[in-house]
Amino acid sequence: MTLEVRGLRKTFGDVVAVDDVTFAAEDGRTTGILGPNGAGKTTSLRVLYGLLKPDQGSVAIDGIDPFAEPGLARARLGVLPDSKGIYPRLTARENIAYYGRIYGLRGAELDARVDGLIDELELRKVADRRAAGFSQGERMKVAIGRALVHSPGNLVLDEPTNGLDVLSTRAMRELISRLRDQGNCVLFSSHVMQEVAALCDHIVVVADGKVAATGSPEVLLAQTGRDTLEDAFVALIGEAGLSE
Amino acid sequence: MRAWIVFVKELVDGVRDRRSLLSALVFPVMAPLLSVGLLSAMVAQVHSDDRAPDGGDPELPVVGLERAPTLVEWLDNSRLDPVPFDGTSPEDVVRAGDAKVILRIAEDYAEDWRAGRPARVEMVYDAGRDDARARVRKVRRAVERWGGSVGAKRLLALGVAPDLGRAVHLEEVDMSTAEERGAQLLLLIPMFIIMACFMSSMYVAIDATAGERERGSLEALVLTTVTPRELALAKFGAAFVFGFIGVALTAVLSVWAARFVDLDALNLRVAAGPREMGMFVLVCIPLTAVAASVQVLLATFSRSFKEAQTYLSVMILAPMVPGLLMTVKPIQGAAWMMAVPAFGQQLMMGNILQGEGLAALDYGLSVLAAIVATALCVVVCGYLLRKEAIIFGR
Repeated sequence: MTLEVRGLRKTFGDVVAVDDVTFAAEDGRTTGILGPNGAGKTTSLRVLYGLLKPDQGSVAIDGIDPFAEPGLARARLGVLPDSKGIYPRLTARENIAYYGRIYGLRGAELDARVDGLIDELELRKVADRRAAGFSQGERMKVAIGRALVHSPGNLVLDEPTNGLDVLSTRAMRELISRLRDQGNCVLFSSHVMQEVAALCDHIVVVADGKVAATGSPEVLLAQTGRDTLEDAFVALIGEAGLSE
Repeated sequence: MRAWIVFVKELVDGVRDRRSLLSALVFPVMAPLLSVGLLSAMVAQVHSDDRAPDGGDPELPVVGLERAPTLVEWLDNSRLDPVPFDGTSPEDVVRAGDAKVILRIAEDYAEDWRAGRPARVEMVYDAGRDDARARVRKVRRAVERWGGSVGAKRLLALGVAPDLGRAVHLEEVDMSTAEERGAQLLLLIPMFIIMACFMSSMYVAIDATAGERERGSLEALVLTTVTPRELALAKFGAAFVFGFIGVALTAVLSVWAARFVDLDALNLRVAAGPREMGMFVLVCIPLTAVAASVQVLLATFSRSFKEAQTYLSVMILAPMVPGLLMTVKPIQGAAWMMAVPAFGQQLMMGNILQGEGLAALDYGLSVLAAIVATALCVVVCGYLLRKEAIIFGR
């Protein structure tokens, strides 16, 4: 078990953003956090990577508490956060290499890793162009590249297909599957049901700051007694909404 | 090491940012031009005031020079350099602006003189011309003094004390000499250099902090293994480098440009050589550090790029205060003042310009104060970069 969130509660003033959220993401598996906008997905993830301090509960990355040992925890974590800005005055290659250097890669090792990522992400054509003129898809790829540059093993992607066109979305999905197949632990959040259904081995449905259901797509179908995943999701999100 | 990597990236980013680069380079070029322009204007005024030993308008054309040899000799001794007027109409010459004052000795001057009647001398000038005023005053005073002394001699010859004819003796003590005004203007050079400390690092400070957050790259950056304090240190470092380049340029260009001003005309003894340039840069290093760290801190704290710009452009007025105060009222330096950023530098640079050099104690105090202030700003900035509200914006 590599990414773990247990009994999480986080409030902003009077607003309870996340309440008793528990889930886990494991190696070689794609875990999807599904929920409508404002359900608490980003908040849960931010606590997981140690940016927001929880009011209650604990998180662990490969068993390491990111609040106690942030350096150690972050070295094992690659993140595509909610804000995915890259440096417009740096080239794609420089953007990725910058992060590589921060994580301690140098010289030939760094060059090889950045080169490999540029090929893998199909950024070859724009690799040495400044990012200012990049398309949404190209920017997203660069942001993914810098999250992967230190081969972290654990990957958290916060709404990775947001704002992407059909082709870019498809490329992103293929990438996620590939990363999973390479044995990584991939956790991603989305509000798009089809996407989660197509990619995930394990689904965590979040609504109104609470976990409404967890399990494989089959389990969720059985649990709700619906024929399609979409109906199952609507039922789950609706139930959570009603229980408030 | 991680701080170094971030620092290098911020430098590259800053150099590629036209706004950062321009704001670091435009001011150092503008400031010397401005101060030299003002000083030159002051020198030109002094020249036209005719107080300079070899000031402009050296000759005084006199119509009928030969009719009043003693007056002409007096004028000559008064260094007014009378020459025969070789034109036809003095009025036309003055109207055309070719001369400020022309004297015309009346045709019956010699006759009146011998008869003891007031001999007529006309002074042709244009009262509407500001730059002629001083010259007119000087010529009038010379002629009047000469008339007074001749009159006194005549009274003496009659056995009357000349002072009886003078009930009051009015002496003018004009405090606003051009020399003093010039010396005050020289305070501009340190003031501009101090402003350069802030101006040159301003954009990089904002771009690397508020800019980074606004572009959405801060969240990912703090998720790497780089620590908040390393980030603060690196961003301060980049701002410092830009500030330093700006300050060094401003100092060198200002001192260099000051050589083109005829400071002797202002009776100013100004030390402005390569040694002084070096000392200026040295004096500004601690202030540049303070300026960079304060600006990085404020920009980190700001909600947006625009808000940071507002804060910092207001703050830039603060270091100008001591300089402006000193143009109104000279301040006697005390040791504690050297520890006040901007104020201390203003005083030290003033001393350097006056050829007094740089006192080790003064400089040491300013460096010590700067280290404390800078360290404090960087630490607080690192602390801010841990806070949710700062990372995600408010």
